[in-house]
Amino acid sequence: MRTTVIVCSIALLMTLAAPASAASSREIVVEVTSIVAAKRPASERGEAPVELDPRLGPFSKNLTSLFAYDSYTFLSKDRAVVQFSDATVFGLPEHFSIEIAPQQLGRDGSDMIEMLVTLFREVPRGKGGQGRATPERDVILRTKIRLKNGGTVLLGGPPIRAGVLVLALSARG
Amino acid sequence: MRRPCRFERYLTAFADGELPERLKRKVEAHVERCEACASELDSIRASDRILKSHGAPAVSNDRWAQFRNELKLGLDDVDRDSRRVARVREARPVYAPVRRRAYAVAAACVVALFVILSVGPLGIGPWHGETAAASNECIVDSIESLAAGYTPMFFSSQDPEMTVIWVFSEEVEGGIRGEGPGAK
Ligand SMILES: [Zn+2]
Repeated sequence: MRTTVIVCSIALLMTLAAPASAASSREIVVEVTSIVAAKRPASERGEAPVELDPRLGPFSKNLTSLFAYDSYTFLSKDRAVVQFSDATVFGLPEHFSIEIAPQQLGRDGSDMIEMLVTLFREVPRGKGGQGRATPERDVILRTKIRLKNGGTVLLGGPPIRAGVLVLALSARG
Repeated sequence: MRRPCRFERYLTAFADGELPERLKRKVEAHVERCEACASELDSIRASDRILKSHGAPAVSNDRWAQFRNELKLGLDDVDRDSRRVARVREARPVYAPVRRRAYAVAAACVVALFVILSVGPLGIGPWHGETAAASNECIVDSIESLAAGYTPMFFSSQDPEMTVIWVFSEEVEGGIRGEGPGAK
């Protein structure tokens, strides 16, 4: 009898827990860290160590082992709560912006967040005009990814004035 | 989080002092009351400081040359026998120019191969053994660029576990033209 009660309680707890976790997965927290990676001029390169902005602590190992730049500087960090039916745009330096549209979490029981990521660059049209026309956006990158819940993916490459833009995109459901 | 403000497009020129006087005054006044533009301007000026302290931006030519060479080898494999599964090594670039038609089909194959290798034929299970609870596992299902002059690729490494999605820009690649597979 006691065993039956325990088994039933566990079953009940499990059924109660299931909808709770489904409800909490209607939104995710997205964090975008903007980094500028740069090379020193060859004349200054020498033996100098890689310069790492201390604010990049969590990403330092990844940056230095994956890339060959001489310096990594923190530019900004933005965070947003995004609904699964929605998309959020993060403004980035120099006319870039990134849109994150989470699609689903935990398909097939996995712990992966599925999302559509689009990197835009605003292009002023009609140079010399007074910019009355709405600026258009070029889609520099559009990618569909499945990221481990709580994980980070690095996106980068677009040249900006100080070097190359690198973004650390993290998501947690 | 914010949406781009319509004044943002003038900020770079404003920071450089390149705007005509009237527009300059408009932007100046706008920045006074727009927090988004003020912080954007700060970041442009921060970029400028970095630029001044490090000189002209460049990328590691060796790195790009190696990256592109490995890509070419991968694509050649696919060209030779699209059924043969190319081995995925650590930090191997696995995508191809979307714009360059010559590579487009091969690229699709590489991506398909990568996805198969990544998630297995049934789309289940991680692509490289056990993963820690807080791993950075990431599967790239699709990747493209719709803008001229940009070529997206991705690669994954196991230690540290990280997926990198990289957009090559002709602007940056200029330095290694003549070495890479796209060389003319
Ligand atoms: Zn503004």
